[in-house]
Amino acid sequence: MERAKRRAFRLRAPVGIFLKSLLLQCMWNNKTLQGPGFAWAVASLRRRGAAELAARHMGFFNSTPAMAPCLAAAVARMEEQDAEPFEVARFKESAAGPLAAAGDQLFWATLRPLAGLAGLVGSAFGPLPAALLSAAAYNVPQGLFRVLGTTWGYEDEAAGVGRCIGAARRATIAGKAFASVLLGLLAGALLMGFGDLYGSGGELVFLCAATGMGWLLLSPRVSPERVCVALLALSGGLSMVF
Amino acid sequence: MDIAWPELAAWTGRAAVVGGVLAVDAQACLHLIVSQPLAAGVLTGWVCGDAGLGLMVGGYLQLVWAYGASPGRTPGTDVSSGVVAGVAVACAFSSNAAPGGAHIALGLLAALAVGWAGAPTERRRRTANEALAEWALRRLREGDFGALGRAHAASAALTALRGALAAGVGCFLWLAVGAVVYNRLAVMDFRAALVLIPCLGLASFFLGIVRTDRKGLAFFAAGVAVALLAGFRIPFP
Repeated sequence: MERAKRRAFRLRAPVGIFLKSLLLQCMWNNKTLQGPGFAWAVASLRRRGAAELAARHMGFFNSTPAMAPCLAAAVARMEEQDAEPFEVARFKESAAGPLAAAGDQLFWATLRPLAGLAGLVGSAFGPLPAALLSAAAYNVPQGLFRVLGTTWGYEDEAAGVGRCIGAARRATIAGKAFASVLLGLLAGALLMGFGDLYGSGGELVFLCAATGMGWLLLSPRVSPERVCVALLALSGGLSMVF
Repeated sequence: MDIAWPELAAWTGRAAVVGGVLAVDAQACLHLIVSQPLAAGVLTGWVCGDAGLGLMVGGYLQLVWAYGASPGRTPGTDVSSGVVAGVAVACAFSSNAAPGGAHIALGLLAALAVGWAGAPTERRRRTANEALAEWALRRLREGDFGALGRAHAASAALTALRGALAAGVGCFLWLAVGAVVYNRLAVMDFRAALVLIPCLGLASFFLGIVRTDRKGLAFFAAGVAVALLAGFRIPFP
């Protein structure tokens, strides 16, 4: 009975932290960044002393939202085992940076463009498949990292955080490869689209246009938004002249 | 082109509701990526009665905003509000669609303008979160743990309100602008731009993903080969 109660608490622990960590970004502010969200996740399972524990963790914290549950779970476990506050603070500070670096590379630099590309490629099949493919491409890995990361962090603490970082790095390599394939699919589809529109010279028009755009975007002063507005203005204006 | 007040209110209301929901996804919780341009465009288009047009406008914006701001960075663009306002405007004028794609062009311009104008409101929201966090910390020191939950709820509500206002007001203003200028836009031909914007997006993605990675180039070439061999096509508008 006692073991069942302990196991029930341990099973509940990652779920409670996982759910609260979904709102990690909610109170993002310029001073403490994700501090309030992190404090809420870490202190969520404490019955006594939750307010004092949360107050201790309200300070500066920032990490990728999908990776932070791993660290929150590890810190919650350390607090459960009555670790010294300065040890917990030192662990939290030292782990947050590498976790964020790996997470930003995976989620912002790889999975988010991958989701966009999956949706664009899926647009060939209609609006619903496009939206579903886009959402799935990002949310399946995100869900896995949130769930597994919370469990690893709670069960293995620092080793769990290291495991999460390693998994993120491997996933980034695979994600970039897949994104490159999707980008190639999109490029091939556009190449043939230009051929259909403009006949035999269409492919050359496409290659020149894409290369020209790439060259423009290399300049730091040129943003895609400005190029888009300029294209619309030129297209509309020239159509009035010619 | 005239838009009656009840119609104006209906479009604005739809944009506000969807804008509020997507702002919560973009900034507060879940981060299910439905606030990114393509998915947000499909959702907004579905609410406005034309998911296909929503996909088109959302797709163009996905190509322009390929690497939109991450939730934690200083926001340069309010992507979710921009997409919602742009798609709503495009849907509103699609009943008078011109062959030159004027309604799509107007939607894109509205999206870019509302995205740019919405960013300062997001920065103000973050400043308000500072005050909420300070209040929560004071209450925590007094032993009230529930204050942190209430602060989170208030912040989420503020996020939804900001998103609803940004998308709703942006949609309203651009519907008013469109009512004045649409007849002039309708005689222009924007198809050249609508064909070149995908090249812009492709270049943007290429520079971000493949440029410095040899293996990435090989995978990119494989993708092009598969598309050519399979005859894979994405329809242009």
